[in-house]
Parts: sequence; C-alpha cells; structure tokens
Amino acid sequence: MSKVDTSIYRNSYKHNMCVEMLKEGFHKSFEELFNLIEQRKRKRLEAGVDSVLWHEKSLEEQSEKLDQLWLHLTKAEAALRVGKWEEVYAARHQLAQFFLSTGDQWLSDHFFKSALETSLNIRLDGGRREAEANCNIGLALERNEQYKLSAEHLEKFHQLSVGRNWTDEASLPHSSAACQHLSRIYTALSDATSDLQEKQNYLNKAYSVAKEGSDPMQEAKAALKLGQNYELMKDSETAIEYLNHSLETAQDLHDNELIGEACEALAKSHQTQGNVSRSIECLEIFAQTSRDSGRKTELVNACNCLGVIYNTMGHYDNAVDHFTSAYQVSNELGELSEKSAVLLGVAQGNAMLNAFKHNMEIPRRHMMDRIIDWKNERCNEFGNPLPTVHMSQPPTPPRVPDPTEPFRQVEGSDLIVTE
Amino acid sequence: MSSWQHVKENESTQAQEELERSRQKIQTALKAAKERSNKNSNSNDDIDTKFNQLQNLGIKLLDILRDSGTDQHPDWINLTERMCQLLSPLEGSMPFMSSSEEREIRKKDLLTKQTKMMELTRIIGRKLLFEGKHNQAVPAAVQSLRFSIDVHGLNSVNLVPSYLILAEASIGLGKLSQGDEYLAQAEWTVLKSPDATAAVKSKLYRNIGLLYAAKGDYDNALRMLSEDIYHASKEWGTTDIHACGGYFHMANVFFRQNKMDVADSLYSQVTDNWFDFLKESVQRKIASPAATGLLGPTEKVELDDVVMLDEAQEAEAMQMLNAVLDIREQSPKQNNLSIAKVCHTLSMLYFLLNDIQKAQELSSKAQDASSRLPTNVETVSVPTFLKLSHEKSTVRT
Repeated sequence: MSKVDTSIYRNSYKHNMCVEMLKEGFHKSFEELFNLIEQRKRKRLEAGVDSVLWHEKSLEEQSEKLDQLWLHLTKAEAALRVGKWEEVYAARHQLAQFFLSTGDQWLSDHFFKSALETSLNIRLDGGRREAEANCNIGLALERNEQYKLSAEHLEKFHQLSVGRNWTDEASLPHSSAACQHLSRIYTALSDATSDLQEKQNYLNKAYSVAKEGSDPMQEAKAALKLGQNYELMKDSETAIEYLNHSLETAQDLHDNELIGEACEALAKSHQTQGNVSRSIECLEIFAQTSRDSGRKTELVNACNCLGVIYNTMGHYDNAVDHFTSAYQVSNELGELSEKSAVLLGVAQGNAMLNAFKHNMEIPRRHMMDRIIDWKNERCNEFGNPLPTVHMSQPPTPPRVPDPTEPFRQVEGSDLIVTE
Repeated sequence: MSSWQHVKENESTQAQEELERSRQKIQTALKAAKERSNKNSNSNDDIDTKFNQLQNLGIKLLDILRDSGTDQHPDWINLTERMCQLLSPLEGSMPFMSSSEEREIRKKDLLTKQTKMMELTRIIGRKLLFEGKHNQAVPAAVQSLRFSIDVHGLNSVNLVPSYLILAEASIGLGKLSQGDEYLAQAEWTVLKSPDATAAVKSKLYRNIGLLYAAKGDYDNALRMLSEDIYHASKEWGTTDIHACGGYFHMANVFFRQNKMDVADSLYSQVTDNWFDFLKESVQRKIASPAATGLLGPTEKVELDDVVMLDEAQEAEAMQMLNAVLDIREQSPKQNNLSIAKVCHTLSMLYFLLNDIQKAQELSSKAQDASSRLPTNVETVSVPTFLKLSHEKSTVRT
C-alpha cells in the first residue's frame, strides 16, 4: 500500500478531489469549488439552527455533485487557458443546468452568473451567448422572485435578440421567448405593487411585449389584466376596449377559462357604465362557458352575479332561478356557501313580497284575525287560500318562509341594491 | 528642507549610538553568562542543571552567530539582545534558600525562559535559512527542537516547526536523505496528533513537496504541494498570501515540467494575491496620518502595525516576486500586462519596506511595461503611493 493510497483512504472525498485538481494544475477550479463550499457553510451558520439552510445536506457529502463540478470546472479551466471562451461558457452553462435539475438553486444561480460573465468575452457570435446568458439569469432571478432585476436582464436579452433569427431547441425564436418572459415578469411586477398607476405602467408594458411576442394566449391574458386595471381606475370605456379584444382572442382560442374571466370583467365594466343588458349578456356567456367546461366555482360566481343584477332590476323570479342554481352548485362542491344561501334567501324574500303585501292590504277582519292569530300562537296561515274572491288574485307563493323574514330581508336587499 | 535633513541625520546618529550601546550590553551580558556557567558547573539541583544547559546552549549559539558575522545588522542585534536577557540568572536563585515555593518560582521562570528560548531559536533558525546560512541554521534548529521537547514533551505538534527548519537546512546543505528523515519524523508527529492545525500541516506538506521537487519526483511534489494549498486555504482562505507559497512552488514544478500554460496561470495567481494584499497595506499606510509625520519613531511604529508581514514572509515575498519577474521578463513572448503587474507589486513591497529607491525604480519599470500595451487594454490600477515616495526621496537625497 503506497502513501497515496493511505492518504486517499484517510481523507475526505472533497479533500482528495481538491488535491487531485490542484495536482493537475487546476487551481482556479479548486478555488471556486472551495470557496463555494465555504461560502455556503458561512451562510448556514449565519442563518442559524432554525433555518431551512441548517438542514440542507452539505455539498461535501454529495459526491456525485462534486464529480460534476470537478468534471466541468476543470474542462472550463482547460479551455480558459487556451482562450476558448465558447467552451468555458458551455461548461458553465452545463453546470448551471445540472444544478437546476437537482434543485440546488444557489449553485445554478452562481454558474448562470459566471456564464454571463464569460459570455462577455465571446466576440464572434454576435452576442448570441450573451443574450442567452442574460435570459438564463433573468429566469434565475425570477425564480428568486427578484422581478425588477430579472426584468433588466430580460430586457437586455430582448434587446440583443431582436432582429436576429436565433431559435432555441424547440425552434421558438429568441425574440419571441424574450417577449413572453418579459410579459410574465411585468405582470408579476404589477401584482406585487398596490399603486394603481404603477400597475398600469407595468401592465401596459406587459401588453405591448405580449403583442410583440406572437403568443395570442398571453396577449389575451395581458389585455384582460390591463382591462381589469382600467376598470379599477374608473376608466370603463378603455377597459371595455381591452376586454373585448381579450374576449375575442379567447373565443378564437376556445379557451373557456379565459372567456369566462373576460366576460366577468366585461360585465362589471358594462354595469358601471349602466349598460345592464350588455352586462347580462356577458354574464350569460360566462355562465354558459363555465357550465360547458364544468368549472363549478366560476359557475357559482356567474349565477350569483346574474342573480344580483336581476334582483336589482326587480326580476325576482329570474333572480331566484339563478341563485337557486348557484346554491345547488355550491352545495355540490361540498363547501357550504353562506353567500349563496343568503342571496337565495334575499331573492326569495323579495319574490314573496308581493304576496305578503296583498295579504296586508286586504282590509278584512279575516286577515286581521290571521295576523292576531299569528301574533298569539305563531301559527302560520298566510299561505292558506282566502275565502273571498280576492283570494284568487295573489299568486300563491311557492314556499312560506318565516314571517319575520320579509322585513329583515327587505332591508338586506336594499343594501344589495345600493351596492 | 534643511530642518528635515537635520532631523534625519540626528535620527541616524541616534540609531547608531543605540546600536553601539546594545552591542556593548550584549558583550557584558555574554561575559557574565560565561562566567556564571563556568562557576556553576557543579550544581546540585535539577532546575539548576537545566538552566545551566540553557545558558550553555545560548552562549554556544551566540558564538556561532557572531562568527558568521551577524552582529552588524540591527535586526540581528535586536535578536541577540533578547537572547541575552534570557541568559540572566533565574529569579530568586540565591544560595541557601530552597523552600518549596521558591522552587516553584524558579521552575516557572525556567519554563518561561525555555519557551522564549524555543521561539527565539526558531526565529533565528528561520532567519538564517532565509539568508542562506544553512550551516548555522542547523544548530539553531537543533536547539529549538531541544527546548520544545523540554517544554512540550516528545510527541507534540509543537516540535514540527523545528523539524521543518532542520529539514530545510539539510536540504539546503544537499543532505536530502537526512532532510527526508526529519520530514518523516514531522509527518509522523502530525499524523499522530489529532490537534494538528491546518497551518502546521500546510507548512509540513510544503516542505515535503519541496523535497520531492528537489529529488525530481514531480508527481509526488505536486501532490504534496496540493495538500499544502488545500490546508492553507482551509486555514486562511484561498487567496491569502499564506497560500501563495504553495502556488509558487507548484508553478515552479510545472515550469520545470515545461507545462507553461499552467505555470503561467499559477504565477499570475501568486502575483494577484500579493498585489491585492500589498495594495491594501499600502492604502492603509497612506491613510494613517502618522506615516507622513515628521517624527521618525512614530513612523516606525505605524509601519509595524500596517505591514503585518513577519520577516519570513517578507523574505518569501521578495523571493517569489523577484522570481516571477525574472520568469516573466525572460519568457519568449513578453506579456507586458503581467510584467507591469509584478513590477507594481514589487514596487509596493519595497515601498512598505521603506526602500524608496527600489520602489521607484520598479514603478517606472511598470509604467514602461504598461506604455507598451495597446491602448484598449485596461492597465493595472495602483494606489498613488509614489507621489508620497517622491517627496520622501527628495528629502533623503
């Protein structure tokens, strides 16, 4: 047994690997690897015992990852010595992809970053690798939810790839990919802020890049978001414009979900504009598409909206119909929806109002008796047919609720109306 | 200006006087010690015996040092003076007083003296090595080994530095097999003791690596130097100047193997690490106001704080950077950028060591090299310490 064998047996895998690397003269690889491990160790200590980092398996203990690092880092360094930057880039990119697949984001981030730095030295490819590296960094930042920085890199990517005929493995042009990523990032940025004007700016950007990115689906989504925001900013007219656009595209694509959302938003906008019939139309489409595609939550939503509108307009029977179906569907969903139940109750109350009024308006002793009876014994006889000719006039209510209900609910329904 | 010169002259004469005084002090102390050692040759207790031994060894070493002509340089005088202080009699060693407490006191005093002696002899040994006086380094190292055995026992990691000096001296004298033996001894000690620090290991492996390199066994040399770098990085970090030695020797091995690209990359690493370190030191030296003050002594104190290099490192830096510069200048395709960087680094080193003339020389060399670069290449950015050194040089001349 030689001295070398014993030391290999005695030392850790990392130790042996470092020595092996250095022995071949790959000191830069050693430095990078060593510092990566140390840096992570320090971070872990800083984060403390309670953190997620604490339970992370150290890189030192994962020999297959160390092997990958060894292989590609030394490859990169060998290429670096002879000035082949393309190969350096390829090796670093490969490492980043590998660590992305193993879920070690900090490592993939590191290598994407160094790949970008490397790409700046490649001169003869027209900036293609720089563009791709920017894209990768942008996506890495997106994974870390640093949207602003991510947007910067993706803008660079966009700028570099515009007008070029570069494509990725799936033959999607880089420029379109850039637009699609950017649109997504801008949307995320707008979601993150609560300032309407800022949202507006981001959504405008998102919409314009989406239009450029030639993905109709994304464009429609961006338009929908933009429209909704316009509505929030009390500009219903512009909102309707964008929403209509979104709806048309969605219909072309036969995407029921998007159609539903667009219709819902449109209905709201129309309603604020006072165009109730158009609003109802939209909601009907919304309900229909939801029913067709079997998305029940949306169906409940649509029915409730319709119900509210009919209720406001005084079409109580229609309202009851819609609320009933909303109530049934939400029961089917298994979640006890209080909202649907209450709305149904209100509508039913409203629908019964007429019958109750008739009862109250007939100035007969008979009726007085009934009311007094009810006062005395709480026996409910309002629904019984009246012994006079007048009795046939009022339609018999389908179900008799608790007599106190109408009063309470009339108030309640008032509230809904003003809403 | 004239007052400046005056101050400087005054200072130098003062320093001379001081040196003379310490030289005399050493003489008298040495004489006294010799007398004592002659008188006390028949001592009756173990502490006395040990102390006598210490005294004798010290005297012997001082004689050797004087014979090799080291009493001219202020650094050496400083060291010998410190040694003479250790040769003074033990505390409370008066005749007819041997209570147990008194014995304890003497024992403690002996121990501190031995420890100090160990350190001092080690420093002396190392310094002799750097000056190339391998013959004289051997007794110094043997003494340091003896003292460390006295203090720490036979199986301690603390013996390793002494072994290393011994090994290096032997290798320097061309006795490779003897050097090998010492190194094997050191390695065995390190392996046996789990508390050996990475720093010690780094030094040990560097020496073993150098021995292999001297024997021409490049493969093993590289392996050992890799171990050195690994342990140094563990202790101080990968870009620290402590790791530089490993990189440098490794580069030399690759150079001898004719693997120029690797050697080149490693030499650059050495230069870069030193450059960064010295740049920081220079910046701190410039920033500290006392360094530009008129009074000499404060400047000296400040310098000690700022440089943070011990003599060994100083010599190492000098050796490494000059070697790199030589190689750079002699390589067939001259890389002006790296030449400029080495020159700048050396210039900063000389500046920190207060050798202003050399600093300027190298700085202008660096500028020469940078001016030969194409204009679109970035040149090295250095702190502007030379303006300061211009002023100083005008003052001195």
